[in-house]
Amino acid sequence: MHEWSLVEEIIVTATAEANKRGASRVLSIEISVGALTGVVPEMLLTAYEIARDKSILAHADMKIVIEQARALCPACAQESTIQGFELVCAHCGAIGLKVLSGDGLHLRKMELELKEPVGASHDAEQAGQDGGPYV
Amino acid sequence: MCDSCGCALSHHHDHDDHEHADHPHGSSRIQADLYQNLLAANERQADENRKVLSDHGILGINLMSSPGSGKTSLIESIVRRVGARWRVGVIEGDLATDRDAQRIAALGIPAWQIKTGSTCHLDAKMVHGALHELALDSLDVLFVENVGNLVCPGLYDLGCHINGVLLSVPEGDDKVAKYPVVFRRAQFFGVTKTDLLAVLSFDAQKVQREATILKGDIRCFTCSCKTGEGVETLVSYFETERSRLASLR
Repeated sequence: MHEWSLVEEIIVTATAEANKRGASRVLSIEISVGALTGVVPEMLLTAYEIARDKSILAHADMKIVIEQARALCPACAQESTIQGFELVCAHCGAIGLKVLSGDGLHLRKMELELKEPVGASHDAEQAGQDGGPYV
Repeated sequence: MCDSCGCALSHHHDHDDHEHADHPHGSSRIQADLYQNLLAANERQADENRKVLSDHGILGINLMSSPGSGKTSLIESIVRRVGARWRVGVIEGDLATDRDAQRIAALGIPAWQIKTGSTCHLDAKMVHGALHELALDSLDVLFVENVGNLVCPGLYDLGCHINGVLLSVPEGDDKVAKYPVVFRRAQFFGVTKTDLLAVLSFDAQKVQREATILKGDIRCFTCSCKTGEGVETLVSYFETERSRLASLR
């Protein structure tokens, strides 16, 4: 049930990104879930639909895409698509593969409604682009 | 002690995102394409924890397993075996009670209990808070006993130098393949309660082979805290990791 903790991170991260860009509300977000993380999309969605209430994401649909796992074989130097969790080379059967993708969780897209029309506020646009450090 | 937790953690920001300029000016809607790591905050805190431990010359060891597979017993067994050779500290994670911390404290070593309430795993922030409660200058090895759970702890880096998964013989030899995610973060895998191999059907070689398929460089061990068999081999492994840490300082 760590999906609850992940949803907290989704809301914190998406809220920060929305505020940075001067958004009045978030219309939709897209999350990618690495196949090797074991995160259950249905659980994530259920937790999100409860937790988003009263946040800037209150009316934002969440789309979840699965990031397929790919890994590099140290023996034959070929890439394999990994089905399940076993890191076995599809070409030569070796183990000890280096994971290239499918091991992370990322906020990929946000559709935002801005407080002011784009171009009306120089500050809002700049804030969206610089992404400078929070302090 | 550190730059974290209100003690001013340096807030880095990922710069691998960008705004899509494909919107007409005057529109009040935009789409932002991003690549924001949702575990970034935990990973930053974990790196901070690891640095604090390294700066103090402490080897951090995160133990993960389902409830009852013998994490606390293994720590007790190791503490008794190393005696005064290492100054050991323990952070315990459980949903409720400080029973494990009491067991450890009874050995005369410092222990701090994290009670997570309903949270099914420790995270780097919780461990960071616990680090403030321990006298780090007087420790050589810190065990972090994660919440008993063979699923969720696998996603969270705590900032230890090595992470291990334990599986006890009575749990059954099908559990590695059934609970693969937790092995992704592990550097070592220990089969515990091997004294029960005499009375239970359990193929230790099979589970070790399966763990290696999930994580190619995982180190495999077997031990019994009841007979003491195999505990010294684990101690030697931790000693090697301590030497490696010392050589990096």
